[in-house]
Amino acid sequence: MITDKDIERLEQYLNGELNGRELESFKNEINHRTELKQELALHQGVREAVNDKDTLLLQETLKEIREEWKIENMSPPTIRFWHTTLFKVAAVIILVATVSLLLYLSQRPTFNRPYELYAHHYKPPTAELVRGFEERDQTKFQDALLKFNEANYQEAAIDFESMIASDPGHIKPQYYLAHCYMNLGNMNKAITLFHVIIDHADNIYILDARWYLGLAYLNQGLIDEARQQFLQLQKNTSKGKEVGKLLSQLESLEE
Amino acid sequence: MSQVDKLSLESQDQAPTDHEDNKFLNAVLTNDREVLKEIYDRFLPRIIHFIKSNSGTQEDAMDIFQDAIMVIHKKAKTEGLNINKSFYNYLYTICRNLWMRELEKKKKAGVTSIDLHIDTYSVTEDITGLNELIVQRETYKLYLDKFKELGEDCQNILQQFFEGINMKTIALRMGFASEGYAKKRKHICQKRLIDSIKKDPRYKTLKHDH
Repeated sequence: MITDKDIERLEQYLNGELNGRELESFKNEINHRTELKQELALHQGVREAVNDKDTLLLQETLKEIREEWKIENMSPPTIRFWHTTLFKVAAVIILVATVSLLLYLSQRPTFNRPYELYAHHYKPPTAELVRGFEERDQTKFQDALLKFNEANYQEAAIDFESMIASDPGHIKPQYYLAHCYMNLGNMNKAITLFHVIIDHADNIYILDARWYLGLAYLNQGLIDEARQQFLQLQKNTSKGKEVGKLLSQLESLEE
Repeated sequence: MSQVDKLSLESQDQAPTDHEDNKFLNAVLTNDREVLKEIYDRFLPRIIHFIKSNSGTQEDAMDIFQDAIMVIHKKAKTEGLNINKSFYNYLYTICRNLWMRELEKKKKAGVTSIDLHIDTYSVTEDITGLNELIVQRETYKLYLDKFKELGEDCQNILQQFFEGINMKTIALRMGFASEGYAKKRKHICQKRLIDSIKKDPRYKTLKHDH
């Protein structure tokens, strides 16, 4: 049976942290324990798969192309039901759907000002909450995130500001504080914080920070500054489509 | 005649040149969206026709087609790839092998209408190590399917850990209060991932294939 100790040593082995006798002993054990060898292969395989960014990107591209291809080339129904009741019912449904679509298109949002683009696209993120850990600071942080998710931005902002004051290097509270400011109408402070996150250059919030920074600039009518952020984002595949749509809307605004 | 059948016949008249075969291979290696779309437009209808003629559906064909491109990508990346004949023949060979495996699985699962005799419509290539590549592709697909089922935080933590980033930096980037907390989260996320892989029926089959 694989124990937690086995997993720990596996990790150390894969991280290159075992040396000398420990390493020899572990290699020996792998050769003699089939289930440990299989567990090693599994952990190694998972690491390789998750680290293979090229493959992941290609997979995403192929998924998108597949959906596009389906829309362009869907085969027509093979059953011929031109003169059946079923066809008539289908025809009525299609007619209703077409009329609904035309109504929707006629009521599709149009934008006259940058602020309207901001209002259309801005949605505050939902913070992921994790319970069940004993560390006090983490509980305080989770409580602040709960307030944020409940749209209690004033109180959440106070909590995040206190956390940042005691640890200015923490990026996550700064990210959520920026959103609190956006929702409280304090765009200048939000803009400053998003810039801090982007300039930090080593965290997982950078892409989102650029998106929201762009929206904050739109709120302030600063179109060129907003465009600069969105153009940077367009290079990133995962946000490319959404950003492309917003840039087109921005162009229509300026015509 | 369906639209896909028409496309299948049209694309057979447009045999790729050597230059195009290299273009297609480069597109797979470099994730060139425009040329990848061309691969779909030129070759997918023929694979759909082949799969539908051999007990499959259009959706089956699209799955097989995507997997085949991923196998080509893997082979080209790890071993380098020289296509002596045509890109399509290479692709077709892999699709055919992948579909054979699927049919064998369905037959074992008791689907009696499956006919394991496959009609061949195109020239097949002799590809060394193809079975191993296919098993590897299916294995990685299982791992990534289960990885994507994890929450976003878990995915971020594990991705950074597997890249070799130390726990202190991960804690900082993720906004955790301490390195100890980050280690706990990583341990839980990793256990969740490994357990879910082991519980998937594909895991046993692939272990046997390895």
